Amino acid sequence: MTVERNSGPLLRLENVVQKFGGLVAVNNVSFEIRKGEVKGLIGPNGAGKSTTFDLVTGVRPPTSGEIHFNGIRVTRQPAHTRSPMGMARTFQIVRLFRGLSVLENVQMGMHPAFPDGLLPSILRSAERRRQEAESRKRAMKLLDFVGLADRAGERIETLTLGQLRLVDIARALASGPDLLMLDEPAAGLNDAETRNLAEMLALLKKRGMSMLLVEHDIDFIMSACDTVVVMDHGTKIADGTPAEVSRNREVIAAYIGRRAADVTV
Amino acid sequence: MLMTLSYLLLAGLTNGSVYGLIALSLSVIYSASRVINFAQGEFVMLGAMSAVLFLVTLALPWPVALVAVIVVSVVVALGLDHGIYRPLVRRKAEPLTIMIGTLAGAIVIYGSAFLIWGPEPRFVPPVLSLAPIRLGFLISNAQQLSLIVLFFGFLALTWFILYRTRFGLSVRATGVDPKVALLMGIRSERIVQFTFIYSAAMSGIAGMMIGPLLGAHVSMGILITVKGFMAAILGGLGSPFAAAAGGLAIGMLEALMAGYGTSLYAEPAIFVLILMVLIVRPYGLLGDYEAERR
Repeated sequence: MTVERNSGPLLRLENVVQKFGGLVAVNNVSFEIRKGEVKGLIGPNGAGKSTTFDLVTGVRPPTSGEIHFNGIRVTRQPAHTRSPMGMARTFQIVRLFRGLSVLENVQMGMHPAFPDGLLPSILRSAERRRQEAESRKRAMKLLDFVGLADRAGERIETLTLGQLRLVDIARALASGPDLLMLDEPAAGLNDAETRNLAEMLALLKKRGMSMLLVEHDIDFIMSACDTVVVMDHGTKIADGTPAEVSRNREVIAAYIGRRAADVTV
Repeated sequence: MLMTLSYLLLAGLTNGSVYGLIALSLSVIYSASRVINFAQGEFVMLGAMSAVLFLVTLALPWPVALVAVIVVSVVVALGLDHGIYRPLVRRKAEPLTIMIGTLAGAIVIYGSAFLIWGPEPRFVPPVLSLAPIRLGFLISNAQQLSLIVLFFGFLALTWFILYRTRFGLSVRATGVDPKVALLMGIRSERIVQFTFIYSAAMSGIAGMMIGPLLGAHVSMGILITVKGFMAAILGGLGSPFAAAAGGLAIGMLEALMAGYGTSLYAEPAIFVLILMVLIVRPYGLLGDYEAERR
């Protein structure tokens, strides 16, 4: 269960709407993520969860409604301004930098914290050398956390999908985010890799990381999350603990069908 | 026999250094933007022609003239960036469209140079001595050798920037995936602007140094672009070092063809060679698959 804490929520969506032409992909959705909370976002295909995720990460601004992060209105802030604000994301289709080493990929995530002006880079002041060493050290620590420290020097292409997802997470963590947003992190992973991922997320949660998780894998999300938002046809149909949500008639109906819901309850 | 060969190789190395610098420039810009800058050779022309202006007309000492040549190249590169690259990229133009845009830029630069300097070839005074230097049985001169030194110097500097600095890491990452790089807070426009400026400066300096050996005229740019482009394609456009090596290879081939056959067939022969290489290795001799997609 979530620990109730001071101040306002870390992330707040208020009546968010996204229309594509006549199609309402996200219909008046509101929810909050508190500090330290792990929130899942699930729903059948076409439920609007990916679109909602895009709105939160800033891929596009919503048609209407507001999104607040850390008390700041970010509704129309473009995606690239969100990493310095403390929002980091991973990608469903892993998008790491080919041709770069595993370590370099993680270092890329630190960009806001380690400015890269060219002249200082070449002149290599003592301060700059210290920063570069610090950046490598931090990246190594993160790789160690995800269990890939021994692959640091290898090119990213040599890794398996499961390992790539871990590097993606390490890269997201490298910016030192307040909120980690994971886009279907378990998609395409085998059982062992999924278990490994779940353990890592549990460890992150123990360290107080707030997360937003979009996932297809219901078992995965039910065990990883404090609370779950369920969407269907663009609308939020439930929001609560995994236990509450899994007893919800509408949720069962959305997943299994109306008649099954009547039978099960 | 050996002496002829050595001379030819030295001549090839000199020309190859210029082609290599252009190929290096093209590839650096390409790696960050997936655009081939058809105006690259114009910077060599600008370097050579403005060297005449600064060294002869204004009679500036050469270090000052060198700085002035770099300033001219950088200013024109900024014009290319702000006048063509950025407006097109912001309108979401395809790399191919932007490439045609750089061709337009080349024509504008050439046309302006024509208005300023007219069609006559100019003599560019050598910065360094043309007095013969003996290297064993080879005779060269400081100007010629400086081009080779320049080429390897820029090669080393480019490697250092790309592979030993955080900035270079950003350049490489932008080339692989500008959208994700943007999410990491790297503005690809800034990176591409750097590659334009850096490449223009390299080419301008090369122009100032090759001028005394080749002669300078306002229409020399396009030929140099084509040679540099061929070099980059032969070596592999995706990697600056492969592209630069392609420049050396073309310079050598040209010299050997001219020495042992006739220079008349040098260019067709090189084209045939490039064709054959590309059939077997579509990404260039040393190229990687990375040229394949943005």
